[in-house]
Amino acid sequence: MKLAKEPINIEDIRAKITEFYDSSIWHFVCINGLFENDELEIQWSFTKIGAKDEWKVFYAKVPENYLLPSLSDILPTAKMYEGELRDLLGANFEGSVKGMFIEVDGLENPLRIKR
Amino acid sequence: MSKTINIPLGSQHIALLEPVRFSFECENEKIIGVEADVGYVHRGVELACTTKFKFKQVGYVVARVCGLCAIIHSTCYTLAVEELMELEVPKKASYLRLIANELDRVHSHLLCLSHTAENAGFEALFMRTMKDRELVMETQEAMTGNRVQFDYVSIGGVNKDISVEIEGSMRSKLALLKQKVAEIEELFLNNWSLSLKYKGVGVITKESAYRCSVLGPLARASGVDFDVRNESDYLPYAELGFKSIVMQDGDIHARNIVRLKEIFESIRLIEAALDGMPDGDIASKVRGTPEGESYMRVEAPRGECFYYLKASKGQYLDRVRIKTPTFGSVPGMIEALKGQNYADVAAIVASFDPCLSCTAR
Repeated sequence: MKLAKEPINIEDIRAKITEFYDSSIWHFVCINGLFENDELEIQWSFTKIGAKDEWKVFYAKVPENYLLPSLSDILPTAKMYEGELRDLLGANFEGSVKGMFIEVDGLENPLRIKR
Repeated sequence: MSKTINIPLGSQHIALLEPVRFSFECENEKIIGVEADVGYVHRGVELACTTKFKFKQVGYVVARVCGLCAIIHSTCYTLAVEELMELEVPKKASYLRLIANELDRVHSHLLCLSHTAENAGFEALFMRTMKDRELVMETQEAMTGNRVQFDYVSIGGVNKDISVEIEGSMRSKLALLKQKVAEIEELFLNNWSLSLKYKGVGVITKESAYRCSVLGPLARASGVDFDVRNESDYLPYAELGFKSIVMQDGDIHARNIVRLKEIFESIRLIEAALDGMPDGDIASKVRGTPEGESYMRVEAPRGECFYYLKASKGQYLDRVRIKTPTFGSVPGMIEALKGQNYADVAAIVASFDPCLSCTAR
């Protein structure tokens, strides 16, 4: 497996993905999130179509309540992952509201586990 | 003057196998807007995998994400852990995993086909397909010990070898299944009423499939040759000469035919794996604990299933992220429903083969 993880400033993510993403070359896998040391790490994962397991992952670390830019106009599927991470991890993506998986009055950010 | 009305479908509806709610904005009979809500069966599996269960148990927990593709989830998780632990898996175990994965795909595709037949009002074809599906269910039971929740794949290998008797029974059942599926294919290809209901309906264009990252048979029916079995060497598909099935029309008919042809390809792969089954152990010894990050994906019956793991040498994992194919395909499904007649919704949704218990986890 060939994995290239590239750190990115969150303010630059929209411009970077717009420049990088060509849907006939790269397959958008998903948006992933982690919560560590009171910080959120958001990962945007892609694989190269036709190449055996060639991964490209952009990641940004932000404070826990940071307003994250939405990429749903560039990657239509991103809307789903942003909604999911909003519910489970409390990732505050622009335009996403609680309620996809967890009721509006349900648990807050269940995946923010402090170890 | 046209009038716009909103029609909800679901979360509980006779045409749906699992809970999902669509909200349609219709202009007369034509759908002009769609919203989908998928989170009705969220069970907190990702949280449980990092707090309640040790990493050796998680493979059996994630198998409970879905009754239809249990083996796919446990395979994907197990491969990810094995990568973190740098575990060498015996070749025989990889072959047995491939057989189990393909049996799972066959029964899942047959379930989808039976459901689409039922939604077209073809009850006899629904019952016939479900009856023929029993051949693969029995084979799975003989191989793994269970019909649904298999618990067959374990870290380091598999839990059970196949005996000569089981192999013989598997070969004869699959030979019979091939004949039965050929008859079903003939009906799907040539039956007038099915063609009328399916051809040109619920189209996902190639451009739309690329743009919306549509996965699995949905993408391949729209001319996108994307199959993780080609894109990754997670199991010995290349050795057995796997060929992906691609069609161009992107409608319900194309999705049905892709699934039917994939059943034949899966059976061929299983037979090739049985023919070339290596000798040796079915599992290697597992020592130590996982450390690091792993990105793993396998081809589930509905498309790419992805697992991300993070571990730091403990018994409990730091993060388990599951991405399921139906969840990723929802925007593509919405695109396919726009512009269609409301009366076709049940057939179109059935042709997506949505798996909501996977999706909501």
